[in-house]
Amino acid sequence: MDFKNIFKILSIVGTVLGIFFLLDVFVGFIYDERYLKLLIFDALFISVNLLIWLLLAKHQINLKIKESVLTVNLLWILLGIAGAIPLALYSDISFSSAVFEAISGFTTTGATVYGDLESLPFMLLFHRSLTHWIGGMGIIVLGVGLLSIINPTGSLSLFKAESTGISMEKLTPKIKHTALSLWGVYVILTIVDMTLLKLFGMNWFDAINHAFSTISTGGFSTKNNSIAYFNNDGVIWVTTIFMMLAATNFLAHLKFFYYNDASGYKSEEFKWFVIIFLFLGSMLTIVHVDVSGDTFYDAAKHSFFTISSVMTTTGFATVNYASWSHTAIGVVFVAMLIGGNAGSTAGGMKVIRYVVIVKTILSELKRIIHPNAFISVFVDGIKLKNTIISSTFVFFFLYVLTTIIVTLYIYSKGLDAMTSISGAIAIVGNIGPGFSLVGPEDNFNFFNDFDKIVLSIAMIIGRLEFYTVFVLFSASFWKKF
Amino acid sequence: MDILIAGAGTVGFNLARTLSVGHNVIVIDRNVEALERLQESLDILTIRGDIEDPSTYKKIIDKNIDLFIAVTDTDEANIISIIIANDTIKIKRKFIRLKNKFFAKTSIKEKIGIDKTIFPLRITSQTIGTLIQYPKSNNVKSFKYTDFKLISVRVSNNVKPFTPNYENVAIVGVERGKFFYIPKKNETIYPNDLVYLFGTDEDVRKILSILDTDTPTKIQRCVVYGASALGIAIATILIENDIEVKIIEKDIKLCELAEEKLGGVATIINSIYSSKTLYEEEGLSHADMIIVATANDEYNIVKSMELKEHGANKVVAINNEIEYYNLMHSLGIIVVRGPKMSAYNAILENINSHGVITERIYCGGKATIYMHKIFEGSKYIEKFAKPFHLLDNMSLYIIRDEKLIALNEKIVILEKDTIISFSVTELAPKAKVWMYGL
Repeated sequence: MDFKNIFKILSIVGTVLGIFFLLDVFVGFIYDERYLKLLIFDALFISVNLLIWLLLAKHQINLKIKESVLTVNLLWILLGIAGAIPLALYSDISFSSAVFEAISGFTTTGATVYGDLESLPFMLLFHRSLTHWIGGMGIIVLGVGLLSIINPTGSLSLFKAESTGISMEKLTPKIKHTALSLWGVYVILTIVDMTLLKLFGMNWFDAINHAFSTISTGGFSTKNNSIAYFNNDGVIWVTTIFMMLAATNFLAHLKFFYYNDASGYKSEEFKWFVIIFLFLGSMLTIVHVDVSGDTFYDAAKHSFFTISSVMTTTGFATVNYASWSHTAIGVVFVAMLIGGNAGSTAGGMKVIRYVVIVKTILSELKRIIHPNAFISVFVDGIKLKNTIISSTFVFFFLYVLTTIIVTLYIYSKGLDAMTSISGAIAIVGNIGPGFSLVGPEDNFNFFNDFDKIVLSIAMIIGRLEFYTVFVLFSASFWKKF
Repeated sequence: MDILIAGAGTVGFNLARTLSVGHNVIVIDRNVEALERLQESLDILTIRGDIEDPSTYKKIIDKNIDLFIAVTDTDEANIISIIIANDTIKIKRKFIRLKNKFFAKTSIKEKIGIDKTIFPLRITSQTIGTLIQYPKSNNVKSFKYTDFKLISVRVSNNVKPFTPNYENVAIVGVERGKFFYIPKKNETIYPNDLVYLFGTDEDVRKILSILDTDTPTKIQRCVVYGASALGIAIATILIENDIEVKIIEKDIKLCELAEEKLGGVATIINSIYSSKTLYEEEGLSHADMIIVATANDEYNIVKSMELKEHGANKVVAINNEIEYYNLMHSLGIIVVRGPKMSAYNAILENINSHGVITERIYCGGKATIYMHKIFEGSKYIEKFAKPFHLLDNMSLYIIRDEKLIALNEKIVILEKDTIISFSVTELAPKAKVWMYGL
């Protein structure tokens, strides 16, 4: 293993991260806050990374698979620590809590340890949203874009190790062009969302923060009551739509924005994503009308918002759905297990995997009736190879296994079953809030420091889609032969 | 450059691998496995589809392609793909690989606007043909704008250390053991060196006969192992040079076909290749040159070593896969690139050569030549050619009035000059920049 490769990449990403963090300082400057400590930390952080980068300037990066995997894992440790320091400097929380908050930010989970957000300095609120926004598109996609400019070869395996979908499709011959265009789409969506939020009455600061949080499907808000604070239908509908857009495969947007080609929206995954959204939204509306006595419009507004928020793994809240009824909780629970589309900023199982699993099950059933028939699984007209099917099932198994382990861990701490199960799903699926003690109006601060580290690791495992982290535990990873 | 390659076979794969550094490469093929292999290891875009189907090209997002290269195994598919691609997307330059020589006799190239047709079988058999003209050499390269040639020779064991001093010949590469370098002008040569000489035909021939005392001065009898299309093409060239040819082939059908194609002029022997008795019974030890020309490199290597062990005079092996080239070279076998490797090389050299500047490689890719011809009206005339602080492993020359002049100091460029750089491949980018900037 060539550690020069790893350190060079970490230092490059660290430098870029440090430059992004200067925006926090800028916010502190605008709001006349005491940003000096932050500035000193950031200057030191950038200097150290620049120094390592310069020391390794002549080293040509050529990543092997093992190095890529290790780099991505180490990168998340770097993110957790670097992201935590500003939080620890300016608010009265332990360092573990700060790490939890930072990881929750970068993994776009949106679970928070802060009970009273409105008392935090603006630069910290902005810092939290920024971690979402950077993490959303995958810092690696950004890294790959930059890396391949600096170094034309050797960034391919890194892209594979961190992409959020089943497979990262390319639209252009060079990965850097696809990566940079994806960021272009990301920025465009953020700006449009931000502008609309401003038009519907948010101030610029809230609009920027919520746009960052929405497009990254994160869920951090600047207000204790999340989106409910704004009490504005426009804000709710805009956010509902943009959460859905953010959970759609970005390549579909890319094709549409850059090449005026809507074919990306005709995929089976997107079709089912919309169908599930409409179905669960309607179900919840009916339950909501029945339980609360709100008008049908209000019920639909809150229900579709809630389903969008949970399904896309964002985690914003307008109403406390946990208090509706058991049926409502059931519906939201289903949404929690779905997730967004492959190739989007959303986490969770993702619709495409369900499509593959259901189709495989159906094909197996058909095989019982027609034992001699040729039965393959097709998605979007392409025949799936057995390796893809088995890796999907293994993914499902790892997802369930991890969730069970985290559930048991939380349960063993003496918490109730609902908190344990929903908390585990919310953490592993990078959603944010769950039910009961970790519901939309509560936070994760009651966990002790050790628990927070465990949950942080669970968030990273979910974000990196299990394989990238679990491969570290296989003996062959560490063997030279 | 945006490059579109039709065909993900050996040639397509190797082209994609080399060109993906610095260019935007798209590869089209029907074979999913081949495309996956490419996508796994290279930063390129692959498109699955039939190269003769217009809808395949419609999948390409950026419809402006600088270079289209058709390199599937089927000539017809290559030709049709050029027509269809040209009809569907915008293409600036088109290269095609064709197996059948008879296409060369048609005006198909002009009719469908192909910029370069590559006949790999012809390249390989012509290389063998040149070896016949220069029996003592291992490899001969000719150039577009000059009669000077680049010729390599293995120094015989009984030759005493020797320092050639000919006005119009330069030593532009020496391989001693595994070590290759480009020497300054008057370098002493030792037995068993592989020496690369650049010079006029007459002078190089004189040096060849001093350095190689083993090989006869004229080739009269040749053996070709393998009667595939390549074997037949090689035999044809040999027969045209009045050489007596024996072909050895194990497949009886190929034997029959070869006999028919060669009109009974060559002796075709149906035999499994490996028997030692064959060597004695058929008098192969009397052959001046044995060419092992099967499509299987492992076989070619083993057979060449075996023949050398038996004491064969000169053994030439055909190389089909790029991975084996260096191994064959380092085993001391005379290597001639087979059709696939010739196609790969010819295409790369054509891509990297622009108008008046030609790029060629030698010594198995260890060294690179750039050649710049100064034509009438060139903007470089009357300007200074200033050699940069000359690095080791790089040398610069000018051919002026049929004389070879070492370019060690500033010199005024005149019309009809040819400026040449020889460098190890690691320094080739520097040489290229210098050559283009002058």
